[in-house]
Amino acid sequence: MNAFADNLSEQFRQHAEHLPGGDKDNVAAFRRRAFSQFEAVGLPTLRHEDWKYTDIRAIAKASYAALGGHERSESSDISLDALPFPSFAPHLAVFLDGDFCPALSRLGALPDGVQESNIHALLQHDPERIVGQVKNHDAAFPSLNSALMKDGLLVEVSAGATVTEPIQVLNISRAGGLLNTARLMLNAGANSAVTIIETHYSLEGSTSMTNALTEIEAQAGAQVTHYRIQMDNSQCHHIGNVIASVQADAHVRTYSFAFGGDVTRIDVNADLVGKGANVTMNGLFMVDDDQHIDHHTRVRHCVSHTQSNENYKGIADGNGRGVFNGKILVDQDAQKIDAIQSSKNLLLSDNAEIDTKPELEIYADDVKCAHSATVGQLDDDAFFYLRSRGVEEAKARSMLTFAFAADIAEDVDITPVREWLEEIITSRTHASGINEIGDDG
Amino acid sequence: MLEINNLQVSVENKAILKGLNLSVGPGEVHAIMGPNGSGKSTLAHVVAGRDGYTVSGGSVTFNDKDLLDLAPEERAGEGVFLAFQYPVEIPGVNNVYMLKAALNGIRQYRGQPELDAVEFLKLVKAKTKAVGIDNSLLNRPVNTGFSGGEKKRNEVFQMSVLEPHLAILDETDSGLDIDALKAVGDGVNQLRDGKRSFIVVTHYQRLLDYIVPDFVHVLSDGQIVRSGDKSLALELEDRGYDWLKDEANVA
Repeated sequence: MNAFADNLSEQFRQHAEHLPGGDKDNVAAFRRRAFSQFEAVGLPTLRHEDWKYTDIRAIAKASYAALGGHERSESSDISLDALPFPSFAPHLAVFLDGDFCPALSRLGALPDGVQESNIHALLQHDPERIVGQVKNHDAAFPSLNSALMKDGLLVEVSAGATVTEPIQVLNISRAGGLLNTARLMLNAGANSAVTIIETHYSLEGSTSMTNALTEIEAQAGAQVTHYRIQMDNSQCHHIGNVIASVQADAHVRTYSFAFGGDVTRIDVNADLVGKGANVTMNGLFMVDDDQHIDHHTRVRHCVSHTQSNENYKGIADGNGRGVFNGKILVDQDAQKIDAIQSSKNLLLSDNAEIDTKPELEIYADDVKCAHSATVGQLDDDAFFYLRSRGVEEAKARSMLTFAFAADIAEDVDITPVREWLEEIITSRTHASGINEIGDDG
Repeated sequence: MLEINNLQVSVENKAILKGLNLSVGPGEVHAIMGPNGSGKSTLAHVVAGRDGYTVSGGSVTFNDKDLLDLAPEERAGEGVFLAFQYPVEIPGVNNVYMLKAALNGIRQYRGQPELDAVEFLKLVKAKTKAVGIDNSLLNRPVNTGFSGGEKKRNEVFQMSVLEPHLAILDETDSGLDIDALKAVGDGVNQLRDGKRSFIVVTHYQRLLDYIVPDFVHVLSDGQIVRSGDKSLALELEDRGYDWLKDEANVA
């Protein structure tokens, strides 16, 4: 065992009943089951194939307060507009150190067909709606999330409903030494359409860890767009899991933009379970200094006529290290599959490192599967070309880095998110200005 | 204006330029001709500041400044422009945006105020007309998917916006058909104003029908082996380069 797990086991044994719904038998049983699974699997180490590039000994050695007892963080001096990520949506739910924060949230009338419920309240008053929906997960961190969940959002979209404005969820860490269990459950009814933007951010001085789990159920014909933004400070560790199930003719687009944290690991999983199911997984990460960001994606084509499309880009500067591992699984008898995966990576310093690995497990024979993985540096010819024209060195570097990642930003439909992404790509390469010019009318 | 004295340059320990001398005054057009591998492109790149060349001796001064001490963008700030033999395609970087960054980089270097978007686009509009570049190329990614002729026209267009004091054209004629050659020649001629100087690096004489030089130099094995006026170019066209090599060997 390790300090992290030992400490959590101790806390769980003593205080599980104080978690929301802890006095309800079904909730307690479900928590115990999930915690046992976490204990049985244990924290992953470098010996696990899926974790061989990501060393989480810093997490294993740490102890976090996970089961309440801490004082609620002050929110009155936080201005969302001053934080470095977009928070524009008319409907926006804020969780501060894991607790719902009404003062910062904007909970105007939801559009018809959307129901948004607070998981804390459901666990206390209507636990069947949670217990009846949660799935058992095998891996350590999703299990831990289920065992310790105390708040979060359940978003349910009725069949046929189209939600035109995006829904935003912000998870803000402020305190030190907490384990934040962020939970988001999205159930998109048949032929519905919804966009959700999930952001994780830790304020300067926070030393908390996040263990987030997002579950997406896309019923037949549903169109789900999910943006995941990770901007923790470099004192915080971040574990994220996205688990999507995609029914017939549904399309889930899930994007991960990760820029923060000390050790960050994000798993994005999608099961394509109905004919015509489609998943798009795009992502961009940037590491600098001693940061580590690992993305593991996994697409499982369970049935015939399903499609997946992945485009991930990574940029590593300083001593930063990035990892991309993309697994594509095609079940036996899942024929007429179209799977495309691309991982392109850019090293901006001699000490930076990126490991990228496609992993294909194909048990069917009529499958179209294309994958590519590259790690490169800025093009010397282009760099010299720009400088010979008079573009200053740092600016030239920034322009070329922007150009490398531009297609990921271009693909973002929501203007404030796209502009934020363009801005952060540019500002993180130490220069200003974005790749646009005014209209000459 | 540009003074090159006894310039010696090597690439990976192989000597390319072996004591080259060249003096270019204001408003002059110098053609540098020579067989493949004689060091023409090396000369162009060393003056513009490309990495990967070792200068083992000699000097390059521009308006009394030591060019070899300056970064490429500082040389651009001093007024040096290199038109590339193979203009680089840069997907994701908008042509006009790059040009604005370049022009404002140069202005900043010179202590001049930067142009705002409106002033800049006004300038671009005027230059677009003068050079005759297709408007649709302006907002495309730099050189990406351009034809050979479009790329070279784009070089001349950039030159016209940046208004260098010395423009070096590195084999600008390569890969161009006659129409494109004429268009590029016209564009360059418009920029001849009696003060701006040009170094035209070329293998063939044909570009010099359009850009008529004041001086022609023949570069062979890292040195200028002969200089003359435009008639030297015609003589080379007739007789090739071998007779010069033979003469050099005899001497």
